[in-house]
Amino acid sequence: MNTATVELTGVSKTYQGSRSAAVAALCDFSLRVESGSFVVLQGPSGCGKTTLLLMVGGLLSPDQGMVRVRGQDLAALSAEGRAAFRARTIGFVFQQFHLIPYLTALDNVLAPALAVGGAGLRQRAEESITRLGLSDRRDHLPGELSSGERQRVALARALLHQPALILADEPTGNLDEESAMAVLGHLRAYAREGGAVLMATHRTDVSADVLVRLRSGATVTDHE
Amino acid sequence: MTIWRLITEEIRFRRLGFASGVLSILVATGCLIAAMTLLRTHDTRAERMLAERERATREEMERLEDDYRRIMRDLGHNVLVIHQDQDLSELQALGHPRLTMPEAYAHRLGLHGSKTLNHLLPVLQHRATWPERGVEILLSGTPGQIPVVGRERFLAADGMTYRNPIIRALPPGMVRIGHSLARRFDLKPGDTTTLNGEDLRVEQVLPQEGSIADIAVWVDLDRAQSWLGLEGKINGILGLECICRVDALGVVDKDVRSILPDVQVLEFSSRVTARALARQRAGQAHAKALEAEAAHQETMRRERRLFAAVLVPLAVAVALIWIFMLTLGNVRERRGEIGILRALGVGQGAIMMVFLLKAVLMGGIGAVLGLVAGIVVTGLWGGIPPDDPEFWPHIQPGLVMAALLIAPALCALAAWLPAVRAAAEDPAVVLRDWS
Ligand SMILES: Nc1ncnc2c1ncn2[C@@H]1O[C@H](COP(=O)(O)OP(=O)(O)O)[C@@H](O)[C@H]1O
Ligand SMILES: [Mg+2]
Repeated sequence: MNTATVELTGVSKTYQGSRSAAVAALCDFSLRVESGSFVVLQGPSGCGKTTLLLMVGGLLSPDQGMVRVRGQDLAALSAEGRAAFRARTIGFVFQQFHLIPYLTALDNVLAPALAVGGAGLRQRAEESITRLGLSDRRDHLPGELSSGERQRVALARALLHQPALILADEPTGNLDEESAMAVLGHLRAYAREGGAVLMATHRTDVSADVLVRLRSGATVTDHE
Repeated sequence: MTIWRLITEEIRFRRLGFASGVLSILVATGCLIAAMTLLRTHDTRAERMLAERERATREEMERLEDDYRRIMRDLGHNVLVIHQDQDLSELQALGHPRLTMPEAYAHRLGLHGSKTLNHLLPVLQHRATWPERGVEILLSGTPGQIPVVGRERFLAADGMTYRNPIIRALPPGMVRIGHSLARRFDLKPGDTTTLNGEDLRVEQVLPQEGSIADIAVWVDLDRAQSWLGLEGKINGILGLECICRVDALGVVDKDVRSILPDVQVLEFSSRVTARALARQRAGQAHAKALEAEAAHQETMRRERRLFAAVLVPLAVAVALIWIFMLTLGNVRERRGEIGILRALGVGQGAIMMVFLLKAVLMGGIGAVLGLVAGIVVTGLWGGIPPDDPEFWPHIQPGLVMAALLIAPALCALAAWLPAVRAAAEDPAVVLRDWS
């Protein structure tokens, strides 16, 4: 059996509320994401989608179970080790874009170079910006861009190191329909080119290679 | 993309915050440099001022001394050293001592450095007849003042003659005429008269004194000695401007007789002593005024030091607290950015570095500008203009180096806790908060 890009086995996460009762966000959850596949986590708000993505990204540790990304058990790495691993292997796209407000579109796309440098990054960033239709926006600050443009900059940033995996948390949540379709199209294209995409959304109209429906506790997985 | 670029772009984006940080360090460094440098320029100015006053006082005292010396010359002489066996009523009756002493006595007194007599004038005086005029005169001879060891300050460059003599030596061929004689024979300075067959020029007519001095005829000592047949002899040594205290005579007597055992010392006018006392008092008053001024300067100096000792640490403390608050606010403002950088794989050390380097930059730029400001302030208010060669030495290189190195270090220290806090931000929490 070949290595999946993401392999979750029996993962549970319970938040210890500081002033309230504990919240079980995920319970005994398992999932495989193969390379070249576009996997959508679908479910209502509060069902644990973000929690799941943060754990796959190594930003959150599960209480139980194992998270492997490209065969690497994330729990076996130190915090700095996880950061380095994340820098090379995983790209993030968020609902709120999380662009750095004082950097131009181009510099935002180049921000991952702060963690891992490399030759030809600038050229790749510029190509990526052009491919996403932002060439006339590359020297603009995020504040001067529309939501759709901002999310495309964020997407270009996620793609800079050509990661094996893209984690997208509600990437279309703040976008108009047209921009949403454009972003979804780019993500799907990335998966088609061999990268794995794991996207969380509460939208019900998204077509995916694998659709995982999360409900409080229970999980239904559809393969198309 | 580098951390450095991230920092500079952020500074450009949030200029105001950065500028306020730089300003606080500028003020603190400026205060430090200006305070330390101003203290030094004030010291220099006070020193200069005191030196100037001292010089002025000294000059004034010298002028005063000259005045008194002249007054005393006009009044008469302080002490007269005569032969031990000279009878005083005889002295009164004759108007001069009858008994003589070797001329060498005067030189001995000078060579032994009399402690109490500043000026020594050997004289030989004797009643005689002016053969050409047929009148009685007081023939008086003097070689002029002779040097006293220890009083070289009164001497001219040759070390022999007096710079400012109380009684000038008479050049050979010159004569000084008492008031009555001059009146009687209508002699004026510049006239020529004959005495004992020699033609002499009148150098000066002495002012009226109402005493036997009014019939005095002064010539150089050698001439008087040979006319009187008293070669190598004198009959008095005038001790002029003795170091006068009220009880001076006893002291002078002891001093003189320790050198010349067979003489006696007579006091002259008590008015002279009174004047000398007054002069001494004036000197003391001047010295006291100087002391008071010095004390005043010292007080001002202490006050300024105290002020600097409070102001400088206060400015530094305020600046560091400001840097701390500024960095803390910056960290809060940039939580989302920190979260995303961590998600992108930027390590905690690099996150800390972002905030520490920014603080160091504030400190460095602030220190350089503060240094310039401090120097400008000193130039404006230090009282020593920058084109004065003494201006630049007041700026201590050690202090400058210390300020330039310590300011960034202290800023890094002030930013340390906020930077640690930034590095400790949990990206999972931050990214959730922000989405
Ligand atoms: N830090 C936290 N402390 C307590 N409960 C939390 C915390 N973060 C998330 N939760 C809870 O965990 C559940 C899952 O949250 P989340 O993963 O954000 O869901 P989704 O992204 O699907 O909306 C929610 O009920 C949420 O309230
Ligand atoms: Mg969510």
